[in-house]
Amino acid sequence: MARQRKVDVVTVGAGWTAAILAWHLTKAGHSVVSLEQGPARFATPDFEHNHDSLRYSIRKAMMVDLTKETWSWRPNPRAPSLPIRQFGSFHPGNGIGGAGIHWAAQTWRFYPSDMRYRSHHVERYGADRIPEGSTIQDWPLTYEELEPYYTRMEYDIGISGQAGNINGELLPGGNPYEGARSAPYPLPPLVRSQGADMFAEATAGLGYNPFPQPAAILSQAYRGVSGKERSGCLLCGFCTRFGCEVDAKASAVTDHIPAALQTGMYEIRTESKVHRVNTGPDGLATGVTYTDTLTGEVHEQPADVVILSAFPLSNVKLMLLSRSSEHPNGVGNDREKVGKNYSYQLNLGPVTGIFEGRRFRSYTGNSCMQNVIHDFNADNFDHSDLDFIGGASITAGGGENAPVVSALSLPALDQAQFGSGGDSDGNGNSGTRKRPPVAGEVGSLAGQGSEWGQAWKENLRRNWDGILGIGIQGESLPYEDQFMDLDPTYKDAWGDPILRITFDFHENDRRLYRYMAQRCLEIMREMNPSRLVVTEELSPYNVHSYQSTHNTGGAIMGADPGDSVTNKYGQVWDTPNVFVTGATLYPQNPGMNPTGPLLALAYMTGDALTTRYFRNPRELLV
Amino acid sequence: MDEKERRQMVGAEKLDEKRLSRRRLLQSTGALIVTAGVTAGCEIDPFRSESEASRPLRPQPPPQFVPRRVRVVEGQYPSVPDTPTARPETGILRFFTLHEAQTVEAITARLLPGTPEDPGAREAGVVNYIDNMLAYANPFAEATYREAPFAETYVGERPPSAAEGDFSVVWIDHEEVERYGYQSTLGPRDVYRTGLRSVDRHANQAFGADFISLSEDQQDQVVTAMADGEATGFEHPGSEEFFHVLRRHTCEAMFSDPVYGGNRDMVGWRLIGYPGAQRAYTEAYVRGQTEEELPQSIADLNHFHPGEPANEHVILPVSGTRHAHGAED
Repeated sequence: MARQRKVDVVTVGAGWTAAILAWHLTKAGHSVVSLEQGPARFATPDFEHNHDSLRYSIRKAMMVDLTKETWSWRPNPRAPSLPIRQFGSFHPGNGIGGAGIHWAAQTWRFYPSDMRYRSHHVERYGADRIPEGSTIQDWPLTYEELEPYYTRMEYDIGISGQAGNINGELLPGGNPYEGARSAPYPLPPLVRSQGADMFAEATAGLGYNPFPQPAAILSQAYRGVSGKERSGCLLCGFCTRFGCEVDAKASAVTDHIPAALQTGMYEIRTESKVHRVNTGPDGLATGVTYTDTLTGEVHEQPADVVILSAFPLSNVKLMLLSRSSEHPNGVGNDREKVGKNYSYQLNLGPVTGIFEGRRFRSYTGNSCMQNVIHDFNADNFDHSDLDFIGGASITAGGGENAPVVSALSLPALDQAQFGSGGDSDGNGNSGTRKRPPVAGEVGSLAGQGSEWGQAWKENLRRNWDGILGIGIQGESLPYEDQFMDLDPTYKDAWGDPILRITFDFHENDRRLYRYMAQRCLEIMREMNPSRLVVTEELSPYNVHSYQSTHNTGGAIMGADPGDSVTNKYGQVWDTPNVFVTGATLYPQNPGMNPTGPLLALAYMTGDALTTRYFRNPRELLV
Repeated sequence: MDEKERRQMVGAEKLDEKRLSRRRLLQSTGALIVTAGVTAGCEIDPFRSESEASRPLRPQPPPQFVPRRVRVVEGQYPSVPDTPTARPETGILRFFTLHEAQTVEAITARLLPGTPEDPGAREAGVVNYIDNMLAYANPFAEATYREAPFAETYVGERPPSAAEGDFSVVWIDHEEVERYGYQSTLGPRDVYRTGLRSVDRHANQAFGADFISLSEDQQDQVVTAMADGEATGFEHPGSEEFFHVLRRHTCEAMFSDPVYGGNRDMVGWRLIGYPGAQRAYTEAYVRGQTEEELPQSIADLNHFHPGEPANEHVILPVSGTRHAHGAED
């Protein structure tokens, strides 16, 4: 085993939170090494010539290499687990910048009530409204505490959007429910699609409050923290699952990695797979062990501080694997809380409208050209007489529609009927096939439409660009029977167990979905489509259809070591020179994309590390 | 960041080693590819007529797919094939036998029918796409986890009692297996090889002849039986599953970039009104206020240098002005 020169800080992964922390730390004079399992990649030359939907959207070139490592899944603790053999439900990334390279760039601040989730619901509705077995809890910090970091982050990378609330003053055209912000977005909203226009008109007509999607995509040229001028979005239509060829879509490689590299104190070692966090006799971390995957050599990287800044699933796996006599259940797991509070989302499209003869040009632009309503998100609406808690974003009008994906699932001509739920099958779904094909043999093809012949051809010709769907992004609560641990059977390419996910939708999810599907249906009817398809009931969770890469939890932050793994800085209670970043820290998953808040949290941790931690190293920050 | 800095960062040796090892991998795959005779393909390729006079009157592909000033990064994600820089030569079968290729062409032509004037799967070269895809040695075109044990399904309360203590398979309720996604022991080549045999078995049982010898009406009856999961003669893949595999690959071939071997002359994109690989759209275009762009292949996409220090080469935004960095550091 080769022993590398000791550094102040080592990060696992060179994703976005690693880059933010590396930038903070190296500016303050600390040496940082990031160990990244995937390749190096930058707009030039790596993303310059990537307008290839087959390679990136269908074959998922930029994702984790499943030939080497995957995750297993089972619906409940009594069921057997099987490995996720091909990509479906979620898409963790591979290479510097992580999933934040191929992300959709929808960038939010969570609501103040999201951060006091349990208290808020108990105060307003009573403890008996919290679903049985749910382990929701409060964040250990308030919205007001995080607000300055949100603002810095938004200006450092350039967020486009329309503010709805500046210092308590409501502004027209923004989200009226958002927490008070101290500054507007640095850039105006992106171009609005034709579909977003229709959705905005329909929802405003119903008395709701549509607003443009806040986006980490530049609506105009901008200079971020790297000092480099980045171009405004060219609306090319190759965005989610692609790297941005003009750096208009913000990521670690547009700003924080170049900024950190400029200090001369930062090094990224690519193709380096970390296997263990090493600990000493005092129980504190001494560094990490990793394999150079190009040579197969095993290295030890000593460091004063270890930051676990990989995707949540990878952070949890690494903590569980890092067993020693001081931490027999793994680093951070002395109280057996690692892996708990796994949450997902209801990221689904309940209603699709077919507008005969329309050409929406929805193949242009990006997902953030959409409009959104939050009138049914979080607790923005009264739940007193409802049978669930939580809510969902409702959206329409995103672009980047690639035919190699969407032609497969185009609603069949003879299935969708205007204005009715259609013939319901057992699942309450109209316009769907009698039963899905066996996904065990066809994987992500399951349930993706079966029209063929001249009818399919005519349908494609007439309607491929005349489709407008309404989507929801619904909250997912954590439950006791929803968690991550090590799989007892399946191994990765280095002989370690893969991570096992135990997850299924619960009754609160089904009720929430049922309610949101009806709201979507009302909005769609207001838009007057030629025909529509509605899915009124939530099917059981499956791992073969893409839903979202919003897997959260597993090493959650809290105010008390008894019900969490870290404090609000991501500092691990039982190993205080180990920090965890990202959505791994979220106790539950709100109805919004998780990236904005985790970037702000990384800023806060970066601040705490550079201004306070090294004065009293190895002590818990308060 | 220039190439020098980049190489410093990741270690120049590593980069070269990586390129070398990937190149070796690519070379070794060539030897494993099952090929048919060069001449065999002529019979199934409507665009590959030897004499100019017999060329069908339909839109011709551009004279060549030579990329213009294209710089594609190779081997970055080794489990997924790189974007081809040119359309593969047609008329050469790389995986299918001639009979298999003819069968695939005939079935996909029923899934998406066409004529010379209104091209469908046959005219787009869907079979070329599938043949090329299957020729990759991985054998999957996308990263796939292949470690045992694999799943086996059961009907009823619990797995067969003989299965107790047998850890070579994982037993899953047949109602539940759908939720676990792709779990087959078969790779795409096995699926096509056995699936196509099953198609002919069914065609012979139903009509007494191989699929390619049936009338279009009879072929449609076979496809209907497959789509409904009721075709006899299938085991693994099942008839409905094989229908979905064919439908998906027809879709991929019709609507992926022509450099992959299907979508000849971008007929798939023309069918639906998709401009393909464009460098940019304007706001007016997005909002439907300007003429629709003509389709373009990635091979015709011009190269440029975004993201480098601001100078005359920086592509300015479609709208808007330069904006200063707004926050104090």
